[in-house]
Amino acid sequence: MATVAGSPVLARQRKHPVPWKAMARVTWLQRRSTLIGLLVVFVGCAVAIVVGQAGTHASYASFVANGCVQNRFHTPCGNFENWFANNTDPFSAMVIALHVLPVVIGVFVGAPLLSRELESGTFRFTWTQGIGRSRAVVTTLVLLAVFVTLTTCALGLLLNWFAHPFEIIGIESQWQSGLFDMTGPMLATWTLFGLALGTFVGSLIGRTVAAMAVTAAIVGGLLVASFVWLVHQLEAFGALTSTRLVPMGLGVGQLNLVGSENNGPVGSWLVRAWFTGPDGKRLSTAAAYNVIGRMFDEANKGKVDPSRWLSVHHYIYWVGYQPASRFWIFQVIAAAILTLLAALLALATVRLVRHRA
Amino acid sequence: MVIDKEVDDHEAPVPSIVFRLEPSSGVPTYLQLVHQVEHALRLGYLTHGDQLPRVKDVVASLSINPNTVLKAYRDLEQKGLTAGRPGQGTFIQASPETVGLERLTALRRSLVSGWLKDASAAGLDEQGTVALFMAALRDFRDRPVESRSAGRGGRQRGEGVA
Amino acid sequence: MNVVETSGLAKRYRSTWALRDCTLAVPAGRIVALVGPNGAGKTTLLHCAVGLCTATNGNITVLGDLAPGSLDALERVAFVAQDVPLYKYLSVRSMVAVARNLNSRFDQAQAEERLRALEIPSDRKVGKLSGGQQAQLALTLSLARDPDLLVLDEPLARLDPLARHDFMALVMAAVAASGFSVIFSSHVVSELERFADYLIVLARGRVQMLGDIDDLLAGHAMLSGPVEECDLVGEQFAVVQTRKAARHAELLVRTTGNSELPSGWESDDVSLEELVLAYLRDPSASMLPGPLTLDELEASEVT
Repeated sequence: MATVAGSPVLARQRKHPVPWKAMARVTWLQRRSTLIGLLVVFVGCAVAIVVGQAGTHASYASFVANGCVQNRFHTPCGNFENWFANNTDPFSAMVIALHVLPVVIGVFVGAPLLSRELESGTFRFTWTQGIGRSRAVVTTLVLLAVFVTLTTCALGLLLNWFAHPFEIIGIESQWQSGLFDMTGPMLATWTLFGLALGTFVGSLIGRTVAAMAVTAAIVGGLLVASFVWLVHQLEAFGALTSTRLVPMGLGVGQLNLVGSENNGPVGSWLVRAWFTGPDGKRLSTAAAYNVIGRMFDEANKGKVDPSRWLSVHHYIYWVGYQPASRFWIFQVIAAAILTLLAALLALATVRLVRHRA
Repeated sequence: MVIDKEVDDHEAPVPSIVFRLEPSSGVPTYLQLVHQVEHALRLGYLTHGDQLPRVKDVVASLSINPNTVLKAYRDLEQKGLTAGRPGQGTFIQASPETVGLERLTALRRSLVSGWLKDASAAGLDEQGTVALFMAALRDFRDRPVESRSAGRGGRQRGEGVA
Repeated sequence: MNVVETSGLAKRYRSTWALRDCTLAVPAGRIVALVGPNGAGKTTLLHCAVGLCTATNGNITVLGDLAPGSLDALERVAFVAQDVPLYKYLSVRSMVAVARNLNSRFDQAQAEERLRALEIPSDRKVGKLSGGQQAQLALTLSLARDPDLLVLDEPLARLDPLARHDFMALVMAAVAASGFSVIFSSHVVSELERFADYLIVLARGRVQMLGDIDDLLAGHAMLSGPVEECDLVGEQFAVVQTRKAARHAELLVRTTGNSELPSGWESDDVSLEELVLAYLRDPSASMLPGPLTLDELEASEVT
């Protein structure tokens, strides 16, 4: 009867290696304009950071030259500190800009990845080609993931470098919720998560505009939640306590500076603080502020050292804090959670694709 | 289509015969091709040694199933009109009783002045004449002849018991 | 080898059964026409054959014993879907590059040669091509994969007559050159005979008729005779369609095994269009088990 090119047995035994280079070309061809747009955004951010950093270069050089790093209480240091305090805008702008990146990538790279194919019907072409639908989706996802991970990690590191003088001076801290999420590894994993979520939503909903909206809402929402609450919760976990610090207030996140050792181990992060009274019970916030108020009044009158005043009145100032050495632990935990979520979403996406009939 | 533009495709020479189809004529496609070859032979448009167009060229210009063309060519070969040379193509082998153009004209004239005139005189209209002629043709052809693919027999009259 | 073989294939979408109990075996080397009214399940059947959907019940294999959608099958089966999906925003050249990179077997030179011959410019956006050109492009990409089976879902539906001619000419010429099998679906019956040598009639998700077209036509006849004898004669044959007039009746019957034509009755050949329409008009008429059962069909393919 009809001749078949290659006997069936041979065809079955033939291996099907994953064509990475070929899929890279396909991914490029399919998403050329998006990838170029992304590259423009990345380069723009990088340039903005470099330019911003250059603006702080002179002031920080002077700060260091005047020995302010070791002792910040002698005269010219205050001026430099003020300069930095008044010139945070470029830095803050970049922090906000980088926060938007995971959303942008989730919405413009992740969401349309599969929803566009499903909506326009091109999946009936792509999924009947020799490569097969699972491998096509997996290779595209991996290639895009590698691209966005590397680029955003680099941007995170750049931001870190920009942040350095502000951190040394004490205006910003890597523990802060805004900066915690924007280190190299964190920005990379947030972006990975955004990409994976967008792709999953796109494959689930199958309509591009709706998928983009849902992705924006979820990724944006989670970033906001992280900023407002999640980072604090994470950092409070397993905090060490100490009663030996000079009271500074009750707010979360007060920074202990290099060079002011009265306030606890260098570079550590205050997570919470509270007072206990003579009866050993914890004071309410209002009562605590009352105590602080009286304590500082007495100190300003020049009469008594705050710590002495407290012990005389049998008040104890407690703090929960995280030592500097623990920072990387929290980074790893957070990054691992995001990576795990991204992996689960990616697996769910592949499963959806495989079973779509 | 490239086939029609000799300038572009130097592989396809001027075809020895150009086929046409009447899809709704009721005559199977392959038979139409066979008849056209026979007709061309009769008129002398095809002679011994001419190569019939390649299957794929016929298929490309007429847009028909290749098996149909193959069947037609096989039929011609069975009739002894063509011979296939492996790797080269199908070639006209022998001319049947090539009815020359003059002979055709003579036959036609005899029909018009003879039988057709009688039929008209008997009161037959055009359709009636055609029907009668087709029936007569069938009678003439009704002798043991190899059947086609699976016995498609055309119009027949039942003689059996109801 | 059977190029497509199903057994009790059924597919349900939510509450509708697009295919129910569809059983067929199509031998290789044919150009198969899959015919039936809209909603008969043609697209569903083709999608099952190319791995775009999975059956709810029953089995389907392609090219012998391959599972549709498996990597081995995907490599050897090429498909053009109903609305000719292509990346509209890509240039023709990029589209060809995408196709080349998605397949291990792809004859770039052949594809470029064909597109040149079809006068499709390689730097035009796919979306700017005419409907006919897009169809030609999709077909060219499929053919460049050197498939053993080409599946086309209503390829001519949106094409003007010239585009239709050119499209099928391209398919037929490729088959003449490479000898692969083709399955195409159509809801237009006329002119099928020109392209196809094997027919499957699908109605309401079931196979009503299938077989080599020559065999099907040889196995049916139109009997005409006096209307009084109509019922009597009808009992001797498997009647597909009965039409009665005042004094005569026409019966479309299956003739295999019956050669005795009652006296006073005439038998004439049936055209393919007549035959298909007659079956489609009567949903209860089914050829299976018809002149050949599925087992006999398979047995005859071994030779």
